[in-house]
Amino acid sequence: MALTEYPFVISTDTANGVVDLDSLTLEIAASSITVALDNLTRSGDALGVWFKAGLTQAQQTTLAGVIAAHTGTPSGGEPRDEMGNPVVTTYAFAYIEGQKTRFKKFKYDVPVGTTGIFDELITTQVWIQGGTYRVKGANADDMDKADFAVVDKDDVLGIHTALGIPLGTPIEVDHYVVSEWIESENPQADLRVTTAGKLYAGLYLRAKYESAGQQGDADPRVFIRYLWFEE
Amino acid sequence: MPNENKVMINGKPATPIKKIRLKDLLSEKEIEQLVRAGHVDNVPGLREKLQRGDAAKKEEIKNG
Repeated sequence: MALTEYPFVISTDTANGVVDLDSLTLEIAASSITVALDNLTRSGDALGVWFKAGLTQAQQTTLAGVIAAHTGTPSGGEPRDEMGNPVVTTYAFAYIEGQKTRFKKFKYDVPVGTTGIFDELITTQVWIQGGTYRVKGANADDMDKADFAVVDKDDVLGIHTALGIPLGTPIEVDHYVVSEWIESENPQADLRVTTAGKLYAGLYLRAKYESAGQQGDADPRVFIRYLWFEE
Repeated sequence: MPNENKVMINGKPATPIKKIRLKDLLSEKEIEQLVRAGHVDNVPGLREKLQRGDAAKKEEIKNG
């Protein structure tokens, strides 16, 4: 099969003299043309429609009809308001259909100069997306650092049994924030990924905070807010 | 620098224990399979692979 181009003139061959390549791709895919589309090219007023193989005469007529009906309007898929403007969120946490959004905040005091490890048991299956941390006031030191991980201590995944490791021994499943140095001038961050990761009930969210302060300094107080979704 | 000898786990003094990491035991792909499946026994051959692992390494892990 040879790639075959069907050329068009955007200003005269389309409905409004404009083209949106994404929506046109979908419109061609939705037509009765069965030959696979390879790609669309645009150069100035020229539109090239490339197929994996040549079209029959009837298919070429169909293609011309699709081009003639094309309005150039983005197909979207994203939500739009009544004025047609995309509805976007600049900061809000994402919402996954069918799941309930949960924010869970914890407060930990770390004795200055020590390493505090805090494990929180997940009691139901959740999808975690990230969270925020903040260290109170002037208690943070530039040499402090934090780590966040997921550990299995109770043989949820079966590793303890498989290897004969005593129950209660933490096995690190994922270490998703590594050596997050704390900036004392601004000891907080929002660490969030675009997709949520599944966490089975029985696993633990582990936060580790290494305080570098000296005796006599105030104990760092660490606030951690996790974001997760429950089914 | 932080004093690694002073470790508190959930507010209680604790002896630092050797870190056991899945990534030391399994490949990235196997970890992904395990995390998706939820249990060693739900991934064909994974339990056997873990149990076949290097004996010295297993002993080291068991002893923390």
